[in-house]
Amino acid sequence: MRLKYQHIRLIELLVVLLMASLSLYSFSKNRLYESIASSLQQLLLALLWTEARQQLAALPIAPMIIIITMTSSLLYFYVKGWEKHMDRVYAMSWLMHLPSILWYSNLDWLRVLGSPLNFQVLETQLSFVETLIISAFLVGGRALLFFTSQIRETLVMLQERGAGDDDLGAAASGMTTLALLLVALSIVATLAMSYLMPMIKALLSPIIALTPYPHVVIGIACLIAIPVFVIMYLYSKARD
Amino acid sequence: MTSLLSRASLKFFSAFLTMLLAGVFLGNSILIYVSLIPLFVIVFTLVLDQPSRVIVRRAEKELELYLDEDATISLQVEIPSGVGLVTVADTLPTHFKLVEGNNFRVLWKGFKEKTVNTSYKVKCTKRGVYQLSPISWEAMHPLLLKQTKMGSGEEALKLIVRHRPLAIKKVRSTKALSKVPLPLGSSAKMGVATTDFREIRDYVFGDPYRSINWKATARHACSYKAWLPKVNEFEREGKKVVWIFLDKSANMALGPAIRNSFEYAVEAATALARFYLERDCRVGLCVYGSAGAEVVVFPDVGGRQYYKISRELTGIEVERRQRCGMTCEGPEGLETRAEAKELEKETPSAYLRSAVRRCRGHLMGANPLSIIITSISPRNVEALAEGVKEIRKYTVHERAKTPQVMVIHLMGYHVAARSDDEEIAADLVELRNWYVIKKVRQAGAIVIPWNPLRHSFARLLLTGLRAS
Repeated sequence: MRLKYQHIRLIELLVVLLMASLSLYSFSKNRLYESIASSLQQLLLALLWTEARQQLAALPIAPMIIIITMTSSLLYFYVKGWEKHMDRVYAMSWLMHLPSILWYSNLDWLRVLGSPLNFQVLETQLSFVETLIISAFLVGGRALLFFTSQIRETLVMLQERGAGDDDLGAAASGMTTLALLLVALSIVATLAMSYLMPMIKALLSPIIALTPYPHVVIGIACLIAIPVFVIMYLYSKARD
Repeated sequence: MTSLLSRASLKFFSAFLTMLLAGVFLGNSILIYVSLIPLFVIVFTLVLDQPSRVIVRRAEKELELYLDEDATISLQVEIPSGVGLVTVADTLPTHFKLVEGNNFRVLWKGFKEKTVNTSYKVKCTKRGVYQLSPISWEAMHPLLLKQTKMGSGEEALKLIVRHRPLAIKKVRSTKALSKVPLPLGSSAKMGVATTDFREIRDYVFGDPYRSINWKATARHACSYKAWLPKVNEFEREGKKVVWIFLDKSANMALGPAIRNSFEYAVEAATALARFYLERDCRVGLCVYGSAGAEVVVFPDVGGRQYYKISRELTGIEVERRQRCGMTCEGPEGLETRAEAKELEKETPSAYLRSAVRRCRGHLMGANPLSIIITSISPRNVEALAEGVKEIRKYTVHERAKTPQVMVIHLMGYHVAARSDDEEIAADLVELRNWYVIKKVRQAGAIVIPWNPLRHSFARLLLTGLRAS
């Protein structure tokens, strides 16, 4: 008996399509895309005979190939549906969007190391806010896909144990709604945080300026270390 | 901390750390900002706690039902706090079949308090006393980021499954009457006549003239065959005693586990007990196995006695093959250790005689009707004949015309047969057993062969008795 979780799969499809379109949009606005597309176009035209080359020269073959390849790969991973496939959806989307994020890096380590290839080739037409929103949606989408795949696995496990369809339907609706709500809340909170950060910075900078630099570094390290060790402790206890 | 984290929560936390460190390394504020998303997700999710307490109540503490009858089991599940998935499982013992509803429920608990009344129907395919363990529950985190909590209720449920009593109707037709002692009432033949009318019968020498029914005589006088006067017969004071001996040895285990010969034997014993108790007889029960008498219910009358007998019959299980050898361990029927040793010296099939000996105090002087329910085979025929002789020693009057011992022979091979070929083979085996059955008859018992798959017990008693 097949479990009826169409509405979860529909949500997943929407999320995958959103992630694909946002990452493709971000990639298309990047200088890296232009260079890749033009190289690919020239390579393809070079492989064709003269008449065909003249006819197809005006057509954007390379962008179409990139879009079709990426979209079909993402849809293939969606159809497969397991958690590892959702990871690949996220990895591919992130790969296309990463050049735009890197453009906004303040530290260009490649330039520091004297490499001729640096982040300048990753110049994007997207603004900081647009890049941030796309990044937030990609990370939020990944979290949602993780939850939905977990929910599906749990429902299948419960069905194998003999749970009724009505019970599973109610459970699936409740869990999916909660996951959607929490992920949306997290995205909103993050965007709000980024919006409020300049104000917070203005408030804290006089205090931080007075604090010795080693204290700030140690303080930040502790702030990170404490939750890390708490989480690791709880996880190890759970495994015991 | 009661709710420990699952592997999924660690994944989110590692995603947060990776992006944060990458952002710090590259001086990328976008990466630092988006690293907050997994952190917020984990914080918001961990704020929600799954239900830590689930109260499960049963509507009943004990249920009594008949075999193959549907029983409704009702539960009330109360989840006062928490958010998440709650599973409730009421584990059924073997031999139970779920007919309607579900004994495994998955409940979604939102932010409000939840109370659910649920019920399901089960059917039991084997007689016995069953204990349904307390209902177990699991509380899962709504997004599976914490370890599942488990617990169970406190209330168990006892299910007593009995055979449905077979309805043996009173014999009205004189053609169906036989000489076999299947009493229409509880009255003894000896004793003072009461005013309760019993029947009209032919006049026999010694009947008082005042008991002649002249109207009935006149009605029947037209036929030369019925030339004798008719007399009114009234019930006599006193109660007849009926002993039921039920064989639970491995010999009775033929057939499928759910419906083997022993199950039919128990059904027959229940039916006979009810039949005689309804007619005010004093009925006793003796269940015997390879160790002699194991369960003895001394003769008594009334509904309470029927309850006692049926309760004993509900809990009895047939012996297995490895227990066929004689053993002194736990033979409840053996009165003394010396007696057990004596039995050990005897042939392994001497168990009926020892069972009869155990009940002899109640057999002597009561002149009871003894019914032995067994499956006759060359292995146990000697023991059976010995047992019948032992019963006759205590019960049979010298001048009695009709034997007071009845053996219901369960045709076990027919019960075990699963195809037409096996059915034919079972017929051949029964034919081979014919000389064995003859031995039991020679010992002084009436033998009624019974194939429960072909004949109903009630009909068998009537037709079988007529034939004999």
